Amino acid sequence: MPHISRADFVRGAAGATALGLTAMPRLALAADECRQVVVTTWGGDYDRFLKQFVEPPLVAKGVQVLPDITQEPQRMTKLLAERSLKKGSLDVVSFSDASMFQMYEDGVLGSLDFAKLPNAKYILKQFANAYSVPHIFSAQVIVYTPDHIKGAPDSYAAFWDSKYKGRVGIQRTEWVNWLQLAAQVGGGSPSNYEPGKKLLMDLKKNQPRIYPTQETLAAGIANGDVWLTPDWRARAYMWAKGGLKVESSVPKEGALPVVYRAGYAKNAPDGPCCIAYLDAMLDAKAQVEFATNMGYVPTVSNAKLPEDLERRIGFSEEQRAHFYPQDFRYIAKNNSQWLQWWNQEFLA
Amino acid sequence: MLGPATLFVLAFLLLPMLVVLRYSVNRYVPGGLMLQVFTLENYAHFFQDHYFHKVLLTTVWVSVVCTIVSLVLAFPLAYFLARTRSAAKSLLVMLVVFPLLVGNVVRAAGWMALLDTKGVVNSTLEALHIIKAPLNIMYTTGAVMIGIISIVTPFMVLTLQSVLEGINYSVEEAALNLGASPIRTFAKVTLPLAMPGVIAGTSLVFILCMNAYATPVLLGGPSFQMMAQTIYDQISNTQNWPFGAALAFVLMFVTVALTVIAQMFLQRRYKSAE
Repeated sequence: MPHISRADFVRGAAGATALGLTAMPRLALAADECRQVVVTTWGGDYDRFLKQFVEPPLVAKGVQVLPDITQEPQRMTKLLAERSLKKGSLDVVSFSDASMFQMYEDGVLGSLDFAKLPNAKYILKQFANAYSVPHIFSAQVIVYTPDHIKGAPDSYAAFWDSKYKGRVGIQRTEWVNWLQLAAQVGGGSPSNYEPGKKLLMDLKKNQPRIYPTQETLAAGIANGDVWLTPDWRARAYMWAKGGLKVESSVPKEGALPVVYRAGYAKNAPDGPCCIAYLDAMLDAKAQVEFATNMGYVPTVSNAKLPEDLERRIGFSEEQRAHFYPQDFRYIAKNNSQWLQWWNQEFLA
Repeated sequence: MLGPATLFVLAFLLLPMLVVLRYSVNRYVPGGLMLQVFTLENYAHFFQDHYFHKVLLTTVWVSVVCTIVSLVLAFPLAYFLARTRSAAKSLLVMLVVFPLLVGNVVRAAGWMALLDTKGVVNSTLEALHIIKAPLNIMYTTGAVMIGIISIVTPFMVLTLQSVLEGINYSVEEAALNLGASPIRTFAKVTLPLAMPGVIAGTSLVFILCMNAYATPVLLGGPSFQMMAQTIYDQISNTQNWPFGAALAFVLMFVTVALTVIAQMFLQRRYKSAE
């Protein structure tokens, strides 16, 4: 049986678009020239801060930056659809680490020559890999309301504490994160989240409050319905910045990290531009600006945060060393059955 | 001969649907995408799993209730708009259309502000000492229905109004003059004459309800699922395109079948009334 990748299946739908884009005249460039770069990424604050903090030095050199704003699934689809083209329409591609790994496994990313990235030498070793640069990171902490909870909870086990019955907030779309943290508490491993299922069924008896989105969860915290929830420390920082009275603590089991990454398409039209753009993303000043405005921690050692900001969004070396490892291949393989279990058992 | 419109429909509606139909008989590969085979296992999965039956039944039930309620709410308004000779008629029509200028997500956010435990409704009821503890209105089937009805009612009003405008109201007056009560006149004269509008309006609204996505996601509870949300989860969150495609075809088939059956039923009633 032939194995059909996304590329084979969506080629029909996306081919016309890709053809149109690649047929657009592009300037013939010398190897070291960079005139135009297409960056496919998230919209909203992330895109705004790229424009504000990463792109200005490139734009000053006459580089035209063309954003291609999509959600991750659409971005993955587009990249895979163009895989067989000699020249695609995308240069720099952004993904969270799990999706970036999947793109790497699907063979659509170009391999990076880090010697050409002057800022690469500052990349924190734990976030380095061969196929992408880590742009920003955070980790899943326990976000709680100090008005209701005295003393910072130090373990994910707090979500199961009966004194918080009816006060734990859950986002409906976060089944993987919940299975991960339940597996951490319940004796699972990075390649076996199954023990987490039993614990989550126990949690259900504590009547957690379940919300459809981040925003509705924030509303639940604001009105006092939710006292604690797991979330990225960056999110807790932004909530606090927005006026929500929340604090966060790092669980002793080890926080689950999230790294937002960038790489480049194997068939990127503009290799030199990709290198220039990726290097600009690692620039210490730009990274500090992202931290200040978005709450995500720099991934380079030469970006120094003000002490107060470091305390609110950062992780000590010891905490970073203790981050819970993730087996992205295992997650991709089981995601579908987990969703089914989540909907049919946990949420039912 | 194929005209440009036919070619457009073929290229942008039927062909993509055929591609999705082909996906629905492929095999899902976790962590990959799918194998190009011919299998009915995705459809079998749907028919064997009661969870998906429940989701489909919820979708149909919510859609039927919302369609009936919107018809009941829209008919008097459409009738008034059709008969009024007021100079403000255009303004009134604009007011009916006005909610459609706001996106579904924004509208759902508005409902959240109203229906939340600390929302306008609960705060008002508490302030008036009508309730002691906040009512759980948000994240219930009722909240979803309120949200959907607010979206689809303008479509029903406009569809009904266009048909009611064409009715010769002297027939109604004749019935009243001959001694028929207003209710009998409505049931035996107005409603049969307005039946083409009722059929068109209910069909349109029912289809919109069956495909509702944002409102059930934002206003429904954790265990509340309608088909569009389930399809999105399969396609986007787990990359299970074959099963997502199969669910999409099941939804489309059920929607078309129920719409056709309802139309046939109403048309028979309409003809027998003639």
